[in-house]
Amino acid sequence: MILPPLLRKLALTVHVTASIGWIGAVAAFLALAVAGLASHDAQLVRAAYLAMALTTWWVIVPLAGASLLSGVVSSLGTRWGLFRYWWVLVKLVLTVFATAVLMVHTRPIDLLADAAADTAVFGADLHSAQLQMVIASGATLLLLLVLTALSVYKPQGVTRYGWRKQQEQRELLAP
Amino acid sequence: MADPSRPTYAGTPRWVKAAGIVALVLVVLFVVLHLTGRGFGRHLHG
Repeated sequence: MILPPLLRKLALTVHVTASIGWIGAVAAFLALAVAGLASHDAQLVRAAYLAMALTTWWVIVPLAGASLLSGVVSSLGTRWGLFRYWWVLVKLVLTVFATAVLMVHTRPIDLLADAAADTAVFGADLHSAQLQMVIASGATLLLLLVLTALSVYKPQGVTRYGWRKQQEQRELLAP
Repeated sequence: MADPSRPTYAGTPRWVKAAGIVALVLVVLFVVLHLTGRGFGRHLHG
């Protein structure tokens, strides 16, 4: 179903805002994760992990959900569709993957925030979780930049389903 | 028998195949790192 122009632009505005906001929030998260891993200042390390948990639950998770949902609405409400073009399909798969990875990582984020709230100095047993935050947020940032590039360049290619739909429409329009 | 005058599907674009291979390599690398114990985050399980 093709959305009327007003709703289409609203969905696109929400999608662009949420997606770019997601990138900015993950970049800030990465900066905090690096500070938490590398800093020798115990106060700074504790503050970083408390801020990371807040940022995750109040900024990153809502923006990821809004980006995914508005992206689905935008594609279904336009001629692009959700499964007709490879670039849209690849974007969908990568966004679902990035959101799933984010949800999996909320557990270690909460563990680090709990440790930051309870203890003055981080033990060596948390080092791997601290490293995990840096690697996961760095990889997510790269993935989100790939998604942005896909939206801008829109590399060509229709899926088999999209090609079949195009043929059906041509046959309907043919005299 | 297929109608030769009917257009056929052009196939999967090269960029999708390349991206698929890169994704597969990354997944295999991730699994191998975890199975060999070099992965990060193993202290958090269980």
